Amino acid sequence: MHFAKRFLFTLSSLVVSGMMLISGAGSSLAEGGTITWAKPDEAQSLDPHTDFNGNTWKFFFPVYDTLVTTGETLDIQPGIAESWEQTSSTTYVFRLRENAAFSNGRPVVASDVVGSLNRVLDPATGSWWAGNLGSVSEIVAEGDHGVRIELEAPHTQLLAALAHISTAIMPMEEYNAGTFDPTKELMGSGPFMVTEHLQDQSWTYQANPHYWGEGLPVADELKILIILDESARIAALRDGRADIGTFVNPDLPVLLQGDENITVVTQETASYYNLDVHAMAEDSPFFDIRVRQAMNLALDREEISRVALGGMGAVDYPLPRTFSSSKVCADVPSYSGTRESRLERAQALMAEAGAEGVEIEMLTTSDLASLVLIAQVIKQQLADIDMNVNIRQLGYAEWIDAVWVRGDFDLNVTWLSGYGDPAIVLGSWNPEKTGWNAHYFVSVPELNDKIAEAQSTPDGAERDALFAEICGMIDDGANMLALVNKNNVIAYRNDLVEVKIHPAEGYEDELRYIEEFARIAP
Amino acid sequence: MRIFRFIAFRLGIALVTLFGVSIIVFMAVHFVPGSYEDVILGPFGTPETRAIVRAKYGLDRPAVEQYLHWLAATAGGDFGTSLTTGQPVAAEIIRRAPATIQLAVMATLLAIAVGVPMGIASGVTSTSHFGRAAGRLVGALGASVPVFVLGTIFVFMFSIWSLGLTVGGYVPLLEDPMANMRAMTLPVVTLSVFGMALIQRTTRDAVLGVTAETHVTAAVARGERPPDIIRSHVLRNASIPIVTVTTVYFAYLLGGAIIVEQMFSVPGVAVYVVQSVKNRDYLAVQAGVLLAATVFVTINILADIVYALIDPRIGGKRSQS
Repeated sequence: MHFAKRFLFTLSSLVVSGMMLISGAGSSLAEGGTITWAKPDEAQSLDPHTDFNGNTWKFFFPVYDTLVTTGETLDIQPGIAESWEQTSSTTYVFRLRENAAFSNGRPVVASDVVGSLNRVLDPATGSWWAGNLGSVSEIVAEGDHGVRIELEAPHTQLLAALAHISTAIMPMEEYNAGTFDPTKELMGSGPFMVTEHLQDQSWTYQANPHYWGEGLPVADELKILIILDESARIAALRDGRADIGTFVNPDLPVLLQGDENITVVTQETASYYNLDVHAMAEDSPFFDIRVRQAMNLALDREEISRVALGGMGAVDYPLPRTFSSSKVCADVPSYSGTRESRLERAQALMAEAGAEGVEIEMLTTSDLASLVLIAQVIKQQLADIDMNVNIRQLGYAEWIDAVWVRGDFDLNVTWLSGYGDPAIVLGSWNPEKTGWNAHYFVSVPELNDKIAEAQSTPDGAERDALFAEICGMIDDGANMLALVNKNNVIAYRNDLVEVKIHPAEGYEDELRYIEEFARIAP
Repeated sequence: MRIFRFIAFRLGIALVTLFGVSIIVFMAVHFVPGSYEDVILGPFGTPETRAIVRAKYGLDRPAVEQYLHWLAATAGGDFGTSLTTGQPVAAEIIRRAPATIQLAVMATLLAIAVGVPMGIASGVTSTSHFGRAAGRLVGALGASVPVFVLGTIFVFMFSIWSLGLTVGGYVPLLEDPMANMRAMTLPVVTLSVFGMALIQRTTRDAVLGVTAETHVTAAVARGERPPDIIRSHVLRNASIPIVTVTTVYFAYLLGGAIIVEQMFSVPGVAVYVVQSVKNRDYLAVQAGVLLAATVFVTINILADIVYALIDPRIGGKRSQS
């Protein structure tokens, strides 16, 4: 009854799907003013070129520009480059906006772009994102406003990789002169600039007077309040101290059902929850591929979405469902047929492998409540094939250490981000390339080759055929399993602000159009 | 002379205690699973990128060298630089200290203001069944309702019916006293309920003990007025255990009330230390814990000195032991 109620309320909340939401249309808007956003996490570091954490990037988005960006449906759009041209399969030429300037007033020139991208690629920087740029042979400035990127081999996802905040354009002249340290401060050419940061309390941004967007940002000031406790964030929304709040609790629509001036939005993302399976440890039951396949077949992704996420998600695939090509993944065995028929096959595989009364340890972090809920549902489902799962919740750093440093686990519930090109996330299935999962993921040369081929094949039927093959191989290996998509939950005061929330997000930038947000005149 | 020997002895013990704390906290943060590079690089760190980060922040140096370097700097008043923000740890602690101090002072004062009268009333009416039951009930309730339960109830209730108070929204006291009080009332009340119960029970027991003594019986026999007996004979003699428990409670609160600070978004030292533990911001954790230990030890020394001044026998016995 509880779940049914929650599901209904979830449906009744506004699900942004295939449409841009613009609230407050028809209300008169105030000029300037402050937009206040309450969020749960503080930044972990300040350097966009090295930080991997999506929660931290949210503090970078208002400040930094990237060469290109993504639009409402993850389509590539101009960023600080107003146009670009692919002159050959391995050459891209970008034309920078001539009116772009950093918040200190100095114009953005090609050497800033070249220096920033070279910093990302420099192994000494330790950027986790560098590999997604492909094999770059050189980045060259062509005059003050032209940049040419040469690749050693075609790399279809290059533009999508350049849309990521990890390739933020920094003021390299100041960096080289030692007057700007990206590990201690933020300075970019985006719509806002940081004027105050009170650790674990708030960030204050003022409008960048040199921003290239005409008439933007609309607000004079952006304030981010760090409110760790979800109930306190709801209270801030209710009493008007915050205009917008971001949440992870799937019960949010239920909690806010009586508040007519608060709108709850579920924004689809290219990210999904997934299950890592340790297939490299000889003492793990999952060393046997039949046990992995049985486990994969026993999962009921629809139930995970319905029970753990209160219906605020949907079944997802290795190729995120946000991309239209993901439908080629829908026919693989672990997604086909009824649960009963899959369970029959799973039980047969377990019997064939001689696996009875298997004891499994499943890790996750208590840092994200939804992960724990998902782990609990999976535990129930795997009991159907005689797998006894013991869930261990760890603090964030311990979790990273246990899973990705020591590899001390059987199953691990986590999530992957999909970004703006389907092949970016597929790269995770090639441990030789990524390195970070090589200790628990069995490298399959044929799969690695197919992924590399998809990464260099232009969008179209040929690429989709490759994706279909890849999904089949991923399902067969059952080593990293996509579960359900990980949506953003946003609530805002519809009587105080006009917001523009896009239907699909790939880079954790849920308030991508924040420079257009405006206060409603009292 | 004896009192100076006593103070010197207590200071010596305090220094040894703090040295021990420094070793324990250093080892704890460096040897628990998960490191700073794990937090920064997350799942996508490779052995190479982890090595780069460790070298960049000097975390690849031997632990003993790191400890001695930190200890020397801390002794000179330099708590180092936060790995997370690149800003001085000392500046961050100084910025947060007023919120923590205000929370601790207000919670302690409220606990005294409610706990002491309730304890006296409960003690002097102990012969009545109602008085005894009421005293026990209040004490047990206050002591047994966890802070996070009470805080959750307050957050839920006052987020719907604010009654002029705010859940979170801390503003420094000197910046806007009214807004500060609106934001601090709920965390102070939440935090002080346990203190009220603690002080109420301690006061009640102390009052019961004193009222059984002969000089109180004599005062009653002399026909002195009950308020005078309580003020002159009971409270005065019952005050030492009340002072002791209040001091410990206050020192504990100054060390940080993490649950309350987090629930009500009070930007205090405790939240800073806990967030730093999460981020493996080693220097921030070490400074925060060492500072909390220093405050606790200092307040205890001050309390000991006060006892010794009040009752010279205490100082004499302890310095001899």
